[in-house]
Amino acid sequence: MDKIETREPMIVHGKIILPYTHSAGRVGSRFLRELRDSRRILAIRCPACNRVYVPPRSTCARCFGQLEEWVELDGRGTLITYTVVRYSLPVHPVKAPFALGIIQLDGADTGLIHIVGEADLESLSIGTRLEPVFKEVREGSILDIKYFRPLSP
Amino acid sequence: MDSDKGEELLMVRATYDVPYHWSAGQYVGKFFEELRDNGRIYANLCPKCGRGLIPPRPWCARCNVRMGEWVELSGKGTVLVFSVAQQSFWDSGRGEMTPVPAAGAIIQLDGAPVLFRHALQETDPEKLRMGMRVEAVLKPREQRIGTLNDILYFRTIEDEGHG
Repeated sequence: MDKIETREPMIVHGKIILPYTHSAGRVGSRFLRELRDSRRILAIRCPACNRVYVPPRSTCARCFGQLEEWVELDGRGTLITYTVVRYSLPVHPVKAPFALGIIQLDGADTGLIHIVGEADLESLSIGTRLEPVFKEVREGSILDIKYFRPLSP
Repeated sequence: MDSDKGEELLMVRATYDVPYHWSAGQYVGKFFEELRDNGRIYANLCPKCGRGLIPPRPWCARCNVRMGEWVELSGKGTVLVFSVAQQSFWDSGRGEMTPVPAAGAIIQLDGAPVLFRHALQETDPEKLRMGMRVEAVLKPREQRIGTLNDILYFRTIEDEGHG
């Protein structure tokens, strides 16, 4: 055995694989069904503060009131902020490099996190106008929206 | 909302799959490499309190002194306590359910005052007892990657040929 002080430290490769399942609930299920069946993006409005949530939720985070007023959005929106992911992980829905953005859809007051596709990653900028591209085969998932792409001027 | 009654509720399914790397350092690294490359199991000894550590580490945390001599162990030992699991659970490292029944034991290894936790080949509680003699069975060389799982399990020594 060689002298221990001169050895290279050994690198151990591990992994954590955790499958999980959660219920989308009453409001989340309707949102996902509409994506899947009609390519429609639904939001929900708080009657007390007028805040429009997308993805929709059953209670207002500010007023704690029950939300029931559904609003259909046309899907277009504005890039609020983004990051370029350059490191691939199995958990990512697409291979790196790709842009992950927070998108404020027209008519909504909240940001929606999604992939920005068909975009030049080096010249992407905050304020870019975007539209959704739906998958052909949809299964009731937020990824039924393939990505948001820049609107052609 | 009454209109939602009886409507389809959806489940969101995903897999959180995260690879990671960590440095085993020089001591644990050397232990894993000896196990992987040469099929040898080592412990090291504290020069002050005399206890062994497996895997070996640089310092005795009780005495706050540098650990001393490395000793090669035979892989044989005595079962101190054991437990047999009948309930399977998710193994996040392998990405599958654990096989059952599974027997685990704390083993007093020959050659150093050190306890070692590992699996037993024998999973029938009727055939397990405290004090029984066991020996390590390694995976074939080509399947060893430098982890404690390079030791497949400890099997029962039927006849040690005393005398």
